[in-house]
Amino acid sequence: MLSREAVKNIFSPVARLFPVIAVAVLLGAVQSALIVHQSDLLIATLADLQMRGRNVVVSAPRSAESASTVTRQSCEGLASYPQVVNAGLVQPGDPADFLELGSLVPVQAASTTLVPDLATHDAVIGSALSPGVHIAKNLRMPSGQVLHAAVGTPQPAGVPVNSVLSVPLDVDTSTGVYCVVVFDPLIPPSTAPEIVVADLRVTGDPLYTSSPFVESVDVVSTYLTRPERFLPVGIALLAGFSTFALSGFRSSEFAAYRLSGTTRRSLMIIVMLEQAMIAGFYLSSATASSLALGTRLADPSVPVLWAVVGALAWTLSAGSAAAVSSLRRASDLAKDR
Amino acid sequence: MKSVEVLLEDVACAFGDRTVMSGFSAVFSPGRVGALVGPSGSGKSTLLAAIGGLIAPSSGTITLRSTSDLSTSLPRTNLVAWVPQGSNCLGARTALDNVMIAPLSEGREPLRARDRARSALDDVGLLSRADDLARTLSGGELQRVSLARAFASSKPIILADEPTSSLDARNTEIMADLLRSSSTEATVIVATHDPLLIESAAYFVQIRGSHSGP
Repeated sequence: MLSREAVKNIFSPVARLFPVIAVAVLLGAVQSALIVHQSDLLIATLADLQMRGRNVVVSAPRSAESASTVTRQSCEGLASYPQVVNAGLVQPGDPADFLELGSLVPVQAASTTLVPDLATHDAVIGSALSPGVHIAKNLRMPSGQVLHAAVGTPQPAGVPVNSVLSVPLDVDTSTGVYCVVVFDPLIPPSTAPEIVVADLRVTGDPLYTSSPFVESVDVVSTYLTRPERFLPVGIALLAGFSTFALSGFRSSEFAAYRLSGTTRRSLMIIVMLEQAMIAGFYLSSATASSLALGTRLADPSVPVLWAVVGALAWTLSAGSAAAVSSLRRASDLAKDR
Repeated sequence: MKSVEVLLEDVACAFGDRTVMSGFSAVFSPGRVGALVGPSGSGKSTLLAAIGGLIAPSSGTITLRSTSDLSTSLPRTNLVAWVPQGSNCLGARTALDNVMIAPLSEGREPLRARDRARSALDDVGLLSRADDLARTLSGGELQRVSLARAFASSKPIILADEPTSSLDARNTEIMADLLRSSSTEATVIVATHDPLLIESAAYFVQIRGSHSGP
């Protein structure tokens, strides 16, 4: 009987609570859109900072005279870490002439774990060497050898591949001087060098690690601690108390129930069920919006989790507040106008 | 099963230091319509609230004496159906829904509750408007829906608190006719100072206010 009453009280198009469903659907969508917008800003900021070298760590000898090397295995092994996007050795070579690229083109050897296209091509042309061209092409070396080369996409500062022709490291190479590690943008930059230093196997002098871009404020932790993250709960609480205010106009309905023999407990359950159903619309709308916009989110589950929190806040704020008014004496409710 | 005699002995009701009425004794006969008569402010509504178990009398006793197997040990709030002063209703629901909530709240199956509600609406002459939204009904019709709700319940006592106070003469007459011709087995107590309603009752009990206090 109680759920029947709650459903009928909500789903009649002329019901007082019916417009609240529309508001709940709208708020759910707005909430997800807000989170997507904030996530978009974060992703755009991170992409920009990463191109400037954020979360790129280069380990190199402290000076040209320094005799330190790093093992290839330990450097390339970093690529298998979940926090790492790419990692590998870079070994500068002699410039070469190419008909297609010009003379004295810088050439370097690099790990396939740092430049993945090298696993399927003989060489990768730096994006700055072949601007505007994205298709693979054959390069003819002065020796007559033909290289099937991919054209690389622009890489972050600190990954020295944009202005050079990269070729795979020789299989016999077991050590190198430069180890470049590109970390996941969501890893706190402060922890990145520690991982590199801890796991690289170095011989000779200690290696020096540096990052081309060091931010003064960690944008990720700033994002995670932003006050606006509580906005969904704020929206839900506001909506919940607005719904409660609306229930002030329902004294006549509450009186009709109570004077018909409906107990306080039953009326409270009806009211809570009504609010739970409205909050369900809010949650469904937020979830549907998140699914629709999820490809743009760093973590698509975030809006849904916030919507769950918001829905609970909505149900509890509106439901408990309305339940309090349902506890009033039936004869008092009947006198409200 | 429905017949309950209501006995009041030396009942006094007070709100804080203010005594609304005192020394009131009366017997309301089982299965009949009785009018509780008195001027405004004499404590009629307060006395109904005390009979209905909504408030406790400050002194005296209120006894429900069953003429059958009905257990009067239940809380009085479970034995009473109300017809309030105003037209309290679920505005966005049909007249039938409004009446159905009484039998439903007693745990009846929806189909049985529906039958009972239709029968009660028929009793008050509103069966043809059963599927109309309550908000489209007039004040007099809503008051009849309240009465139908009370009839549809199986409560042994129906307390009507000034049920015609907001009605015009024609609707008051209709209510009076309905109460007069009612086939309910419940003990009906109507608080009123409306002559038409008093006439429609089988008997009346006079109440005099006893105001005292600051």
